[in-house]
Amino acid sequence: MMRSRRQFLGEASCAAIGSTSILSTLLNLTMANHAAAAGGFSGQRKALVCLFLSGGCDTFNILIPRDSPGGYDEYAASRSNLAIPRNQLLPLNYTDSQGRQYGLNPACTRLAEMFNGLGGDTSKKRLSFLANVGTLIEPIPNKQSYLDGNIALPKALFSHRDQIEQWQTSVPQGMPVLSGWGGRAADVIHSTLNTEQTAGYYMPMNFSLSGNNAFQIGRSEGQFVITTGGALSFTGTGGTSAMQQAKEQALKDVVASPIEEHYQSLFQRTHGRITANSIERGALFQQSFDGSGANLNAVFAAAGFPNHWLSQQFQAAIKTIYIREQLKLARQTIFIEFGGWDHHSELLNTQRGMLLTLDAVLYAYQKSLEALGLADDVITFTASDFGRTLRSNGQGTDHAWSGNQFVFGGPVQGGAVKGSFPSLAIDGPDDIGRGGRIFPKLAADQYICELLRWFGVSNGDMDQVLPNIRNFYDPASAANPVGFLG
Amino acid sequence: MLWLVLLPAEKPSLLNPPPVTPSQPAPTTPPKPTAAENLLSGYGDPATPPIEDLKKLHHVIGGYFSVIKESSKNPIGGNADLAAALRGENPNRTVFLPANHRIFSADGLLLDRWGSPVIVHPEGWRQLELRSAGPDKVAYSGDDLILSPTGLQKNP
Repeated sequence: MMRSRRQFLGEASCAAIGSTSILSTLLNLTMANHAAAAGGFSGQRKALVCLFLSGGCDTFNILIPRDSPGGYDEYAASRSNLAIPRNQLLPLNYTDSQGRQYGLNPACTRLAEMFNGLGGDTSKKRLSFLANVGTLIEPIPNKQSYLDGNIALPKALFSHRDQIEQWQTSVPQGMPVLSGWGGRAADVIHSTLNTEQTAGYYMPMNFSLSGNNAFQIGRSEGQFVITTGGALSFTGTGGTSAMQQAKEQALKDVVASPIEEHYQSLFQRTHGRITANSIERGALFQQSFDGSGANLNAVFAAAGFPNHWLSQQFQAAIKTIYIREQLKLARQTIFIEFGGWDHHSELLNTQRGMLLTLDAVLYAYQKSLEALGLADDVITFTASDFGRTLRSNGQGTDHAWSGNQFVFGGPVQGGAVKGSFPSLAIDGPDDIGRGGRIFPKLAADQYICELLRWFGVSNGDMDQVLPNIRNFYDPASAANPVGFLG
Repeated sequence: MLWLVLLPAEKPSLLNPPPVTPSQPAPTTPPKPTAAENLLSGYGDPATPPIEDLKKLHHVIGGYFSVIKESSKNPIGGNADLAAALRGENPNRTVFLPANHRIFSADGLLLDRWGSPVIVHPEGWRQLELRSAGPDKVAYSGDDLILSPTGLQKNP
């Protein structure tokens, strides 16, 4: 049966989702539109870095109300044996409009510092929290409206795979053809903002350090999967041995061969040409990536990254941002996944260990960006499958819906808890049942929209990137949808 | 025969009520078991390996998702949701298991053969991992029994 070119590429691409195969990367690259050569670049270079805490992070044990009587008592009653003692909370120097005060999990000393002011300097508040945020199709006015069943709800709530997909696509209804909001953003801005890419030069703007993901797949733009060692290649990462080089050269020769008899179809010829192009893109990236090492190693050492694979990932992210001029990129997204937050058992100890790592890595990462003069160009934000039930199952917590996220960087107006922190009472006004499932009052769309406005997606293009945004916010509005960027 | 049917029934006189005859219990036929009940036949039978219980429940779940196509209503996030859905709290209002089925605890949770609630872990829509706490009744310990969403047994 004959297949169309679109079918061929589409099916091959879909088959590769979820793996780090080089083929999928190449096919994603093939679908990319080459950037238009429309004048030179002028303006600020910007990067959005997504840290996806997969597994469903129990963020109600990270950002904790500490006012008492009131918020803390409600928290402690609901969480029972999982509650962090009040005197262990790291105080955040912030009081919201309801008079509520907050503290952080004691494992997050450096995140508290980023919130309160780096080095004790209150002019350097770099981090803010977003309370009670989750995937939504339309607003839920109150608990009763959810219980009445008249609100359009995301598909398959409380399940890992669906909620990960929905955070990354921002289309909780589900999609017949998967594309993510980072990819769709690239569709509308790569050719208009990355205008230094001229004369056939092409470098994608979406980089993933965690393999293929839905977030960075666009309709025409794709993602470039890299590793902590740089670009993926057919012979491994950055292979320099004679054998690897010979193998790579042979591959280049084959795919670049002009002898059409080698190929039975137009598709195969196209694929061969694309493969050759991708090898070139990989080589270009690798050259700049490797060249940055000497400049950055001292900065990384001074920043105090812990010895952990996540440090390597964030260091590679910094390198990729640092070489943006060589890559001719004014806009970049970077995707990093940190999994293992599905704490049905042993929440306290296991989450504490992971938070200690996360806290140390993110602090060193932000410190490095500051040292390199990149801090004002980079916003890093978290997302996770879902929040978790407030009620303890004995050792941990189960799948729920809304949670808290945090966002940091030079452009962020730090030191605030944005959104509306919910009541944490079990069976209270924000709990839809089954032991403390909090429904979101802030849509992931609002959170993402604010990031995209900063990134350069125009108000007119916002509907293409976030199809549900108008259910929550008018993109033409002068004010940002949440306010963490002012 | 038709006339017998069409004849007006004799109206009972209030003064002369018809003689009262002792009521006979109506013959009862046991309700026909649902397909899910049939699939759970032998659930918890000590003569069968314990993993068979999870496999039977897995079959019931497969049947549930073959009937219930709506993925945005009555979401399943754990045991309580699944148990309620099987009792009829689902978009089709189909009763897969009667509320008095022995698989349910008094508070409506699905139980394993040792009386512990089955741990229902949704990996995705239609993709539920099942875990029994095993004979020690301590979840997430070495004797747990786990069935992946594909129906294969996993090691704890």
